[in-house]
Amino acid sequence: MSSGPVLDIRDLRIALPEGSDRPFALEGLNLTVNPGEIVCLVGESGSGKSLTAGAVMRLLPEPHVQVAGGAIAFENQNLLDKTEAEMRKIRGNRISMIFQEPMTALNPQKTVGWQIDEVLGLHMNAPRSERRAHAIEMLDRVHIPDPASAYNAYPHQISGGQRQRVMIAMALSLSPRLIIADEPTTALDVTTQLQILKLIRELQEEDGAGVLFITHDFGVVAEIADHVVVLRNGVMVETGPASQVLNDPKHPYTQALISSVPALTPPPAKAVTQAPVVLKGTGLKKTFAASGGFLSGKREAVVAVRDLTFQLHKGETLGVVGESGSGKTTVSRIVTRLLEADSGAVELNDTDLLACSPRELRAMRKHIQMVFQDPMASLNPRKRVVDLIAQGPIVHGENRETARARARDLLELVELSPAAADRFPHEFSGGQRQRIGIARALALEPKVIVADEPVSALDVSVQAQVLTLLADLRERMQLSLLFVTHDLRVAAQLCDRIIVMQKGEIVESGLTAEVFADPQHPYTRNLLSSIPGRHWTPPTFKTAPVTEGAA
Amino acid sequence: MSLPVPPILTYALRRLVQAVPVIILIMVGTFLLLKLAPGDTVDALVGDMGGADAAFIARLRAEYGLDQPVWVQLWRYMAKLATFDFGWSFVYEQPVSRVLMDRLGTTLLLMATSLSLAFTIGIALGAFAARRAYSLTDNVISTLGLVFYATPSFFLSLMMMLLFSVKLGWLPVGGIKTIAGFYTGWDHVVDVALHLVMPTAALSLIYLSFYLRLMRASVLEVAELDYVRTARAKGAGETRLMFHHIMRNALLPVVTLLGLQFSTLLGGSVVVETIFTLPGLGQLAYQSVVQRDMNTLMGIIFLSSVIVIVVNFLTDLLYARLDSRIKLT
Amino acid sequence: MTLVDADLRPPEPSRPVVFWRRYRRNRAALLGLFLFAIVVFMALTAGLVDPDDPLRRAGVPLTAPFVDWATPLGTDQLGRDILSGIFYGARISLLVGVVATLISIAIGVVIGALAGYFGGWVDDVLMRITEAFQTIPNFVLLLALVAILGSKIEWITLAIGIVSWTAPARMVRAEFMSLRGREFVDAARNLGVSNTAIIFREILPNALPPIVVYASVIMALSILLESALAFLGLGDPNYASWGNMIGQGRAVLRTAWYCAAIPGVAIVLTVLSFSLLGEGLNDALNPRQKQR
Repeated sequence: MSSGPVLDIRDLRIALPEGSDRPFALEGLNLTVNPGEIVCLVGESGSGKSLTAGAVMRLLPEPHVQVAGGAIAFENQNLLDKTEAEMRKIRGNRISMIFQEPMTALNPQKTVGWQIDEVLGLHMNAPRSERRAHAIEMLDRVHIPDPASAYNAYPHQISGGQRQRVMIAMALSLSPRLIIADEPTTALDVTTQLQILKLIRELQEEDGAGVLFITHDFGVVAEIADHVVVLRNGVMVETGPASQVLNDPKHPYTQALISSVPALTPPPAKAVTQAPVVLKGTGLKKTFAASGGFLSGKREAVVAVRDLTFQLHKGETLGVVGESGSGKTTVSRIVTRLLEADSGAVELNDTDLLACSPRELRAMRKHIQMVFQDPMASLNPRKRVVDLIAQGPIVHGENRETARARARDLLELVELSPAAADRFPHEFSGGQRQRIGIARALALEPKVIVADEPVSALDVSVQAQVLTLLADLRERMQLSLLFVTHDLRVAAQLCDRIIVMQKGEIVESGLTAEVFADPQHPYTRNLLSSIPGRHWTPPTFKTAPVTEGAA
Repeated sequence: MSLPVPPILTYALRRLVQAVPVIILIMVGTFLLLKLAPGDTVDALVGDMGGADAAFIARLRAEYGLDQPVWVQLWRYMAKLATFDFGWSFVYEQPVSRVLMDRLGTTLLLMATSLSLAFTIGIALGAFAARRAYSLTDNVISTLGLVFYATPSFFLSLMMMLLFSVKLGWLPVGGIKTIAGFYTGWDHVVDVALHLVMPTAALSLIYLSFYLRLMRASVLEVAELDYVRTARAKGAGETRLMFHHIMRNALLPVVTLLGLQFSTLLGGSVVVETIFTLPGLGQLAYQSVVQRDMNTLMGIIFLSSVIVIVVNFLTDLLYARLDSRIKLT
Repeated sequence: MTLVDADLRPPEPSRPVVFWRRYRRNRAALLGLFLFAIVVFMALTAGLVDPDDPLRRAGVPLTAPFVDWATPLGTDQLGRDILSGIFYGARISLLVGVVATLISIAIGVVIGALAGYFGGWVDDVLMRITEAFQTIPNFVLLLALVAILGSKIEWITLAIGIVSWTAPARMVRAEFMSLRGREFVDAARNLGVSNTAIIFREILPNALPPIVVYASVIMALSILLESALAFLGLGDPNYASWGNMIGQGRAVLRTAWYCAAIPGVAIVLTVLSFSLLGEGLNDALNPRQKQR
């Protein structure tokens, strides 16, 4: 086995097709991965980090996107000189890859065993029984319970976290020298994420492989990286050992990114509990029934929320925290009555929202507004921004011209240029769209705003700005917020009190600072100890602001 | 309540139960059409006899239940349809069901050959074109597909007749077999096959191009999916990707449309059978319209709907076999 | 210390400009547009080219094409001018195609929108009806309707509309089912917008692009159905129709094959133009799809 780096990328340039917003996806990347080392390639969306993986695997969507210069040396051999047949012998065998979406990265029509066996059959000269034994051993190494039955399962029959374990088993089954992991934990819940990160670390140490780990999340970097490379719009801005980049970054962009990471220090407790209650949920219950019944096959009923009770005081931010399947999103939908609860009451303004007739409900809606998760999907693509914001007041009887004029004022309030008013949603970036969504919610001057994961689809730097805006508006307008999130860092930054949910039930609630400092329930403890990079406190800086270009 | 029944059986049973309301709706529909049509059974009967006096006509009406309320008539009609009793054909002077059964074989033969040809060649060419997307081969295949898709079957039939029967004399102009041939055994099979070449081609080319275009689009779409990228990253070659990862998933939407399109194919047999004078249901449908034999026409509608439901049922089973995600229980 | 994200991008060109730019990229679609323009031109100028009735005798029967300049494309066995028939036939084909498409899309949109938006039992009932219609072979149903209603062009057009609405209904339903779960619909509901306004003002505009693309397919199918009816001699005898010309040409196929071939080519090119047009519209209206 050759000594020296496993992967050595020199001056790599990747060209984008004509008419793209920039000529090169990647310009002059230098990167080295040594055996036994984990190198994190960090960047926001559009930084060109995933294309780097494609270039190493020689799986770029050619001829649209192709390598325009530089060298990629894998164990001292330039991969760019290899023929396609030679590359096929390397892929899956000496270099392997783990992808982001465990839901879609496995073939839905083949069993787990078949898919692991495929990579073995392609590169290993062994009889079927031996390959099967090896595959089951690999499933065992990634800690899948009952590997033999998992071997015969189809991907849709196992959970997301287990699927990612299968992907890892597949990627590591031939002890590759280099593992490329492209955001492997982004789609997973925080507790699963930590387990998968540990697993990657553990297996990589056993085999002594080099890992190129692509991520956008500095928490994950702090958790796993030995060495860090920071990319911005295709240009490498900083590189160095993890401890140095994380705690003493030199480049202003890296500094800005790191200071955008919400610190895990909750705000000081406010005396809000004396304020009047504006929203009160009692005994809320929602079961997703076995739909269709006899004709379309039986599905088991799922209890999404069971017996939920909470109070939101005026001017307070109440966080609803939990992993996927905890029922937190169902809560936001029941409270706004986008979803009908089975039982319980939601008192707003001394009126039970759940008992309203359709007509009364439509009138009541102006008191409770919502900010949605996906800024792409929550704005009607065929409406102009001014109409989107003015729609609510117009529906509730406001004069058209007044509503439009007010919409323009609101744009200013959310720090958007008045020129935005006459444009369509697709002309904006994700963060700008979320600002529009906030303006729309504010237009009705509601008593309560329900925010369902409003920043989880945004890049970290944009996320910080939207959170700042929300906090700022909350102070100025005395807003009461019901804030649903899976991200404990975000919750720590914004929420006065939090409710922790698991499987449809509240396991713990209290002042954010107290819950974070001294969690009572084991689930909360597990959740808090799974936050990636929890031992790392992002440093603060005093530097000039960096302007994000028109990109 | 876990009975030891194989899941595919319960799935099949459920599918059959779902077809019941559709069949009932079709029964009601044909009844409405019959009521809308000018003249009823008694008018046809009287016309057949060459006229009758008013009292006799009224008695006949009572005998056929035509003086009953509409609901009663509908109920009786549906009860009869359920036993495949379609009434009397005054043109053929025999029960409609017997007329239909005489014709069913020819149509089923034509359907089976056309559909299997269109489907197999269509998906093969579609997958082939998609593999070489935007190359010359792909362009030729896709262009031919577009042209065939735009060619009405009757026009194609005439042009084939002109070329293969009139100019070249290779194939018979029409009929299901040579009238005075009295062939038996293999000679009979060959004779029928020769008669079916042009009708099958005329009927299947449109659907062939339809499946071709669908399969091409479907393969291109599936080829972009994440798990195909995973397989590439495992070192799988293009052929392996195509046969093990792309084909099966790409087939799913095509199979769905196979079921949906079948009724259109059956409708297409009207024109083709009429042109090539094949004694099938399609030709019978045309003749019934010309001769205003409504009982026979409604019989054809009902019978062909039942055939479509059966074919849909089979494609459902095929789909369930292809897609491991479908829960059978 | 922050990355400012509030700056706007430069404004984008208006929608029609973007649409045309995308459409233009597909050369086959440009050919389709060209063919379509020719058909429309023929339909509009039929009265100018030959003010006479196309069903009247215009020259010696069975004159071959390019022989007599009074009848440039020849005459059929009754001496009728084929060129004139082609021009007037374009009028009927387009008229039947457009009106039947409008009828079927209108029925399809209403049924599909209701089924897709409300779901539940509304969806069940409407989909069983749709399935029943889809199960009956459409051409046989068309024959039955024509047998009952008669062969007037208005009834034929209506009948074609009635037998072709199921596919658009299914498509609209699928669109509505996927769109009604989108967050912008929730957002509208949350503002207090009524169901009717959500269906027609929020969802329908977003479901329109695929409907428009599909309309081109229905148009082609309607023209094919009308021509098949006319070919079988069940069309309206008072109008010149391409299908009818082919049907008549069948009798003289051995001696004068051009009588059937010329209108046949006209149908092929017209239907082809709609297919190409549809592909171009699809490229232009669904920009998410891959470009070449």
